[in-house]
Amino acid sequence: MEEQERIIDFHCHVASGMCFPPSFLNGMVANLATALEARGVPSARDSVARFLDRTLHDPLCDELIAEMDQAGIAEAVLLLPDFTYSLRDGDRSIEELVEHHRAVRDRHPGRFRVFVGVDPRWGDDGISLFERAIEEHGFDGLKLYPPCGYRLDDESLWPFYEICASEGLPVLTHIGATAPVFEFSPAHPIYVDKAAMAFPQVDFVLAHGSVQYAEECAMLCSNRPNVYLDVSGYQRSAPASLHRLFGHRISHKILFGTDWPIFRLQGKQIDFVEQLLAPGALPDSVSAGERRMFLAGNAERLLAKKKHERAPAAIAGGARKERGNHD
Amino acid sequence: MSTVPLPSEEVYRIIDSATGGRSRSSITPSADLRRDLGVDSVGLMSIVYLLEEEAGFDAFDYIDDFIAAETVEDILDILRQS
Repeated sequence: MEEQERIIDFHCHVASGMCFPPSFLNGMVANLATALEARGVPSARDSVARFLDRTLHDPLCDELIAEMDQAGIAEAVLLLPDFTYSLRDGDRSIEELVEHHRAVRDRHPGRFRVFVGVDPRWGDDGISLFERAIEEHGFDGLKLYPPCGYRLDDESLWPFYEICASEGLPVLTHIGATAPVFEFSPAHPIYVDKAAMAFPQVDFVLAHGSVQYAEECAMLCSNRPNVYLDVSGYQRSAPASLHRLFGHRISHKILFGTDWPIFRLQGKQIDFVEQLLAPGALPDSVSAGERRMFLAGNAERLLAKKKHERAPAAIAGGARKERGNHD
Repeated sequence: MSTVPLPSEEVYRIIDSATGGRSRSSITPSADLRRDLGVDSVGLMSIVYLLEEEAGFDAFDYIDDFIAAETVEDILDILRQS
């Protein structure tokens, strides 16, 4: 019997409207409506919004856990980007969202890590919030979202990087385009370079690095020892994007990630895992060991650097269940 | 809003239209919407809106079923229930 490969999804979000302000979602609706109009499909924006909204009704991540079980995903990293400074139309404060993520993590022991985001423009209050999230809740990393209006080389982020260096925590940052409510240009990957050079003890993960500025991300991963990328977004462009990426011979820097719930209309987590495990999904030159690093080993290595474990995470199961077990 | 029963062939035509006319010969009841027919998020929305327009039912009463649908047969089942 073939051994089930261990899988860690390094890029997920809580699927709830509380985490995505209306102005953020409206931009996604605008892009979807434009695509539908181009196909000659009659669709009102409010109905597109209702469609999108139905993918965001899993605030406690029970559905995500069911899909992880079905797909054989043992653990996932929940990312909490802080939109609350730049978008003021959300109904939760960043403090409330931090608390919610703690509750979700505790509801599913051993299944989730949490990377908490804090907009650096909150100043000292933001630093204190991040410290509390790390020390009191035992969160596992920093999530940054430069399209909100700051760059990774902004020295207002230095105190956050210092905490990450001290605690052995990684930084995961959004790269590239996003909802059109934001300017995209601050999310260019080259801005990680100064920070990664100044903080060599901190691992920086460039999210969506297989599809957003992919060549630049691969260049940074090749040449900065502490820069990594995750492949979330590959669902739109695999296998071509993955073949190009793995062609750079940086398997030790590439992390699996799905960006749940962004692609829920496109399939289930098991579909996305099967997409990667299918023959030809990765280049033939990728060895079994390199594939194991991609699916879990690289993630485990980064997460293992954490210096103060709040509580031993239970080792989750992870044997992929046959399709239909949860239907 | 009254529902107009759609023959399977008409549903196939709508799915084909929503996928850009690339896959008509592949559309069978057992075909996987995403893997076999390449239905993406916009494609799924297109199917729902076109079915709503032509069958005259409120697709949003079944939105979770459409999101969960895996095969062409699942789409036909939703229409039979409507």
